[in-house]
Amino acid sequence: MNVTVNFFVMQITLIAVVLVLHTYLGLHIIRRGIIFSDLVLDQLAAFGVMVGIGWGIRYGTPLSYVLALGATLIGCALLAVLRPRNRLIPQEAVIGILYGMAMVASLLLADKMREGGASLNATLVGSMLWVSWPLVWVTIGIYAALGLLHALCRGPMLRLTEDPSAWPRRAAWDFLFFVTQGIITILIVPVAGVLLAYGFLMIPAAIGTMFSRRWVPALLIGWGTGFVACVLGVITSYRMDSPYGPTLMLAMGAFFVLALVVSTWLACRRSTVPAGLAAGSVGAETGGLR
Amino acid sequence: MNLASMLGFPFLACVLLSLILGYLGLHVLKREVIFIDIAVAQMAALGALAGHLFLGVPGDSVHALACGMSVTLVAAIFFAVARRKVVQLPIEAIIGITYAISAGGALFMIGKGTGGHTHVQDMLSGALLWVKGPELLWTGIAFAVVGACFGLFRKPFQRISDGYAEAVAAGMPVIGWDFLFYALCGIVITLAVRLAGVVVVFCFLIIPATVSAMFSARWGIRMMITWLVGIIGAGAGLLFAQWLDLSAGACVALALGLVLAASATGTLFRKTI
Amino acid sequence: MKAHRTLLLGFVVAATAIQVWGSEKPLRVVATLPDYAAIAKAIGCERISVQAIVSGEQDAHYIRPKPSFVAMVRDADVLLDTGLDLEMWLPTVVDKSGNAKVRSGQEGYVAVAKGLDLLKKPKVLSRSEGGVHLYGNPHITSSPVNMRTVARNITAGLIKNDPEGKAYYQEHADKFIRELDERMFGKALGDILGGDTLAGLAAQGKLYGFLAKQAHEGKPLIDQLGGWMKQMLPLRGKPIVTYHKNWVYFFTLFELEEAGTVEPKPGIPPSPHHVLSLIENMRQRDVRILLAANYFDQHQVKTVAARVNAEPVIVPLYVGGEESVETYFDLVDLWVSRLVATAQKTGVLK
Repeated sequence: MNVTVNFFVMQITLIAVVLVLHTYLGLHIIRRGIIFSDLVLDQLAAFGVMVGIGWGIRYGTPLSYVLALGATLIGCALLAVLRPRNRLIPQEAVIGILYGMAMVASLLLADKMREGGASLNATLVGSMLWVSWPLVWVTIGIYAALGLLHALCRGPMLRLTEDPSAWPRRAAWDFLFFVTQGIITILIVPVAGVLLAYGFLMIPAAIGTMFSRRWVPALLIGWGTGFVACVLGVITSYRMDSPYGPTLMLAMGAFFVLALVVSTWLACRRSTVPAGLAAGSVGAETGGLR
Repeated sequence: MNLASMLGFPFLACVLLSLILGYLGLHVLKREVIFIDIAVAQMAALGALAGHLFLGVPGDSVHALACGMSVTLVAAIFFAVARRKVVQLPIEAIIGITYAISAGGALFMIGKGTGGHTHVQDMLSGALLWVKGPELLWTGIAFAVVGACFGLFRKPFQRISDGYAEAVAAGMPVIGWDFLFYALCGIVITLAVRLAGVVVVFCFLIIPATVSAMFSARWGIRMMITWLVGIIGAGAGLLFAQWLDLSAGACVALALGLVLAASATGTLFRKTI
Repeated sequence: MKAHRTLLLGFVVAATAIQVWGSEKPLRVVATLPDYAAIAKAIGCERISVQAIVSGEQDAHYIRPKPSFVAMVRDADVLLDTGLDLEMWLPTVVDKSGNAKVRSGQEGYVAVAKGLDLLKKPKVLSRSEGGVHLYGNPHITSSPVNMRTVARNITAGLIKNDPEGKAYYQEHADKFIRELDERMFGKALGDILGGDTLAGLAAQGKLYGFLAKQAHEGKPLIDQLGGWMKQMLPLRGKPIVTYHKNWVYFFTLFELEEAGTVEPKPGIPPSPHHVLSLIENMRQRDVRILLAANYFDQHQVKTVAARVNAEPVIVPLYVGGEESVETYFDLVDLWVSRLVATAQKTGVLK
């Protein structure tokens, strides 16, 4: 197969598969309001990979993934445990500080490593260029398994998000949710880099949320726009000879801004109710209010 | 090895940063817009890079600074309006995504331009160790001016920080005040990021304020504690960096984190005793 | 008696102390790159103490200056720098150290590349060309023939700062250059044509061509070639892909063809278009060897090589970049032997 065509097909396949689960989990995350926690996990996964490189463990080997998982799990544990009861310290501050410390750890490690700066850059920017078909197959396999799991358990999973009260065995399902997030994080961060991984998770889901309150439409809109954006990004990067990961990020970003503008405009037009009453509601059906 | 000549200016820089960012941090914590500031910091860095790449301004010049600041002003407008107007998506999502996009944009430009991965590390942890006297001087002056503005407008700012919804209900022109707040933040952050990089600025902003919250709820005392934490962290971090031959900025940020951890453990003990 | 003995002991101690105090302190030389340090040591030997800032397995472009550099430079009498735009971090360090003697242009500063004819001077300066080197390619250490000039510049610098050692430095420098010539061209040719002539031709990449056409006392000159140039002769004209443009001077000397670069902007992952056209190109021309310095991400290098069905040759770029490489001669030996071995392995050399 022609090298170029092979490259495009491989990248687009990977992106298409990755976006499905990412959009779905992203919808959960946005609705639950635990948005920045993923940044912490992404950065910790990157840190784990860097530690591996520093110890001579080549990136891409199973041991490298194990290290990433270890670092990520520490993050999950901290996020779960550190809930300040102090009214003045928002949970967001804790998450922010964890992210800051994860970055600091990565910076200090980069300082001491031989190819530190390049590794740091690689974990931020990703190396999707070097994705190979075996990696794509493995990713598809794992994502399919996780997807099946979530499809089978969709009852409790959806309930996690829609019912914030403490229902029986909630903690167990919560844990399963975070483990899923952890697994897709450590799979995608070594390849796409911290920023793009975060982008895959947040942006399609955000776009979906902006246009629909319901799960399936939001998922479809999110996945659709995300996929189109990424394909455009791949083509642009090729044409413009620009860095691959960041270009995808910017492409998705452009679609996000567009979606933001369009949905705000639509919301303003649709809302026949004074702004004060509509504030805080997420695209509420205006049926009963008129 | 003359410690004073190595660490003198960096320490002064940290003191300046601690003073102004500490105060800002108190507001930021109250308003729960923690990630807005890392987003603004990243956009400031992005602006400076854009100026360097597209307009050809050298990395260190006033023009690059102006580029950084214009971007933060745009960001200020964007966030002020978005917080008020955008209802279909939580503001945190918008902020998080904006941060990621501007970081992506910065990496894009670094990829297209000269230099290389040092730019990434510089952007994140700054060049604290190499700060020079004249730069410190006029940065300090700028900070003083902004500090004066904050002093002047402290009542409206504090009112909005203490309760957004109530301020809206009371008829305050929140978009205007918010814009002013974020614009002033933007100026401070742009200057600070030049010195110390995105991550370090973020840590100076959040960590001392968080520590102070563990010990008091009153603005005055919290400010004192914030400044104390900042200065201790700076001193310890710089010495640590010198001793272990590491990046100064990252060590200072680490030291701040350690002070936080120590305070948290201390508070825990105090409660259990 | 006891008092006499103590007095005598005291006298001896004092005399020794005075002698030690009076004798020369070694000249403190600090070099940016370990190669310069190694050569300086060969020239200065006992009269100098040498340190290198960059270590052998680091990328000299993108060093982040550290406090320890400042300490080194602060106490230096002589500073050896390439003098082009490779060590961009050096001015900051020199500034911070407060050592005015080793500032650019001052007596303690040596630009070792002075007088070298540089390759790849950019015709168009464009900001978006990542890592453009304004004066020309600064990776001068990749070619042994450049190191003759480097050695001479270092010697001049040492003499300027330690005039009493002039004869000493000159003698050692001559010895070093003689040995370098012998390792490069073999003894026989050196006797016939003289090192300077050979070096002049070699630096322009014209040596092989010249030797092939000339004869001396009935024997073709090319047969009298020895050393590294002889070892590399079978590879003349072969296309090799490099990871980054570190090897321009090396390729010119041994008349190899640089068939492409993987990462033109160091630290920045290459764009898809660049990579895809490189792979296409390599397949078409059947390029089987990928040469990379060992400070690049080795996993990346091997992945690329596998992708294009080429064999990676990963070598240290500087002295000390690997365990066994202690002198510049060891370094070039390693480059040559690994390249030749890989060429044989991949069938590039029949």
